[in-house]
Amino acid sequence: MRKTKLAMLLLVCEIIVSVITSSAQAQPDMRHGITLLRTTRFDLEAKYPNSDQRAVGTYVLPDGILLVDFYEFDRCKPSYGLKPTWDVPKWAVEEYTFIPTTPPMFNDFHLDPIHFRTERESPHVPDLISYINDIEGVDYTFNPDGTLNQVRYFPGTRSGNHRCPQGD
Amino acid sequence: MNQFGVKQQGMVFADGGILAKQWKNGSFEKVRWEHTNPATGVIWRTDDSGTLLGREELDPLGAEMGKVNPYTSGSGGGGTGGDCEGVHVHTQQPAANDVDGSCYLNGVAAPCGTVMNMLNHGGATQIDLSKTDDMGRPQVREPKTPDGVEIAGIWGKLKSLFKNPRAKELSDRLSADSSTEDPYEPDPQELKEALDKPIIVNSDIHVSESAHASSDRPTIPTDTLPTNLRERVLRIRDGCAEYTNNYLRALGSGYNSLTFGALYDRIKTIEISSEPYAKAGLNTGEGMSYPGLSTTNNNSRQVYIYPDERTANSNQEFRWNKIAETVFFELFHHANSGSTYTDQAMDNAALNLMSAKDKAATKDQAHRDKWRNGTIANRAFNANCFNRGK
Repeated sequence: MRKTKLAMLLLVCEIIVSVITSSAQAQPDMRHGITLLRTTRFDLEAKYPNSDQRAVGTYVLPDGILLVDFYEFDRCKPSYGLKPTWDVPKWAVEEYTFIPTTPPMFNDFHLDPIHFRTERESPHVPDLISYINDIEGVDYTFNPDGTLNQVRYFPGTRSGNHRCPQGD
Repeated sequence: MNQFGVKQQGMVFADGGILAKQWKNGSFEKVRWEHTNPATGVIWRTDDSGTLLGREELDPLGAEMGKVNPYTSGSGGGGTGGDCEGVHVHTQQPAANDVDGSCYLNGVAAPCGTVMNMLNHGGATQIDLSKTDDMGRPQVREPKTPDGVEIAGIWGKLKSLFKNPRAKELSDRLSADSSTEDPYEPDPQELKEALDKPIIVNSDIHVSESAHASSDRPTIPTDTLPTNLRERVLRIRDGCAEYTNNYLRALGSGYNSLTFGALYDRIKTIEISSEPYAKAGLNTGEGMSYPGLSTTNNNSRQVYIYPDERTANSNQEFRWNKIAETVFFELFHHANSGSTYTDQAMDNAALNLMSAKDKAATKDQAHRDKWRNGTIANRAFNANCFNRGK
């Protein structure tokens, strides 16, 4: 009897763990293997040699459009009369946006509202609503029908250790 | 006078008989002429346009008297001319605004139209042809205020009257209460045609500024889309085809400058409306931060333009060009095949077309000045398309 109860308890625990695990696995991965402030333009073009590069930083991939903002400075060396921000190599990915061809739904992301603030970031397209995690540096923008419009990855507050000493 | 002392009826006497009656019913005023055949005593009644209203008994001789004013001859003169001849016992038919000695006010020759206008609008209480001056001219009493005080300087008063007495009269009739009991309501079509005739300004009457202001139609502020909006938008595209192409490529869009017309045609609604702005809480402060908005709803695409009546009224062509620029810019939001491009994506595309130096400078300024999303793209279009060469 005791063994049966223990087996039942284990089964329930297993189910709970599997549900949590499967939910986490179901969350769409839109990062495309890019690590902010580390992956460079060279890395990207090596990774996607057949991409349709429309402009510096615009890559049309089979699953969507990648808009990349590369770092213009050489680490913390001032250029163009401006102060640099990051102690990272030139052409490192500073920020990027992915616009999926087949957009997942809002529910697919299982976003925890505690970790995201909501904002309407596109005043020219006011129907779009964004869920932003400033610590992780991720910004999901959804269409009025609940589909993902785009996801933007930017240096979160955790990236502070990459800042130039004199940078703001 | 009614029980409140307001004038209801005026009469014109000739040779001791009634020549014309003027009466008022609310805001409705009319003149009815009575034409009496001195030989037979048959009375014909016509309105001020000469329309036969009826007669009291038939001519015992069976002679047809017709329905024209019996004191006139000929058919010229038109308009109010026919009204005037009744005031004057002679048979000349002057034009309404001619001063030919046919009509008099206080013994002074006056345009017949003016005299009748005064009669119609209550300015003249009574024209008594039985009383004449030394020269035998009929007398018109000075108009009086409701208190019975005579208004001095009748000509000064006349100067501030209407540009075209006939037009004013007809206009008053059109706006008169339809419930009026007058059985001789003129045909609205006839009145409309009369009103549509060019207004003849009486050279004898100087119309004061205030009279102009009151008679001119007020300017109603309107902001409209140009009928050739698509053409204007494509003209902008033509003027910056290269940047349009490059920008669409930088967005990763499937559209290009050659297919921009198809992009325009994707939009189901282009409308001037402040409603979507109010809904989104935009443009609530001073100035117009966002001249255009893009939305999608049930797979249909909309572009909204924020109204700007003031610019539309001061320079319509300028406003229409601005609307075309706004629509042109908003179309790039709709260049995403599945949904709309965000302002951030628009900014990214603009940055991706800049040199490293310009890009760094733009990002720096945007950060320092806290530019809102979309500003970088907007400025890029101003520089490359809208303000080129200015």
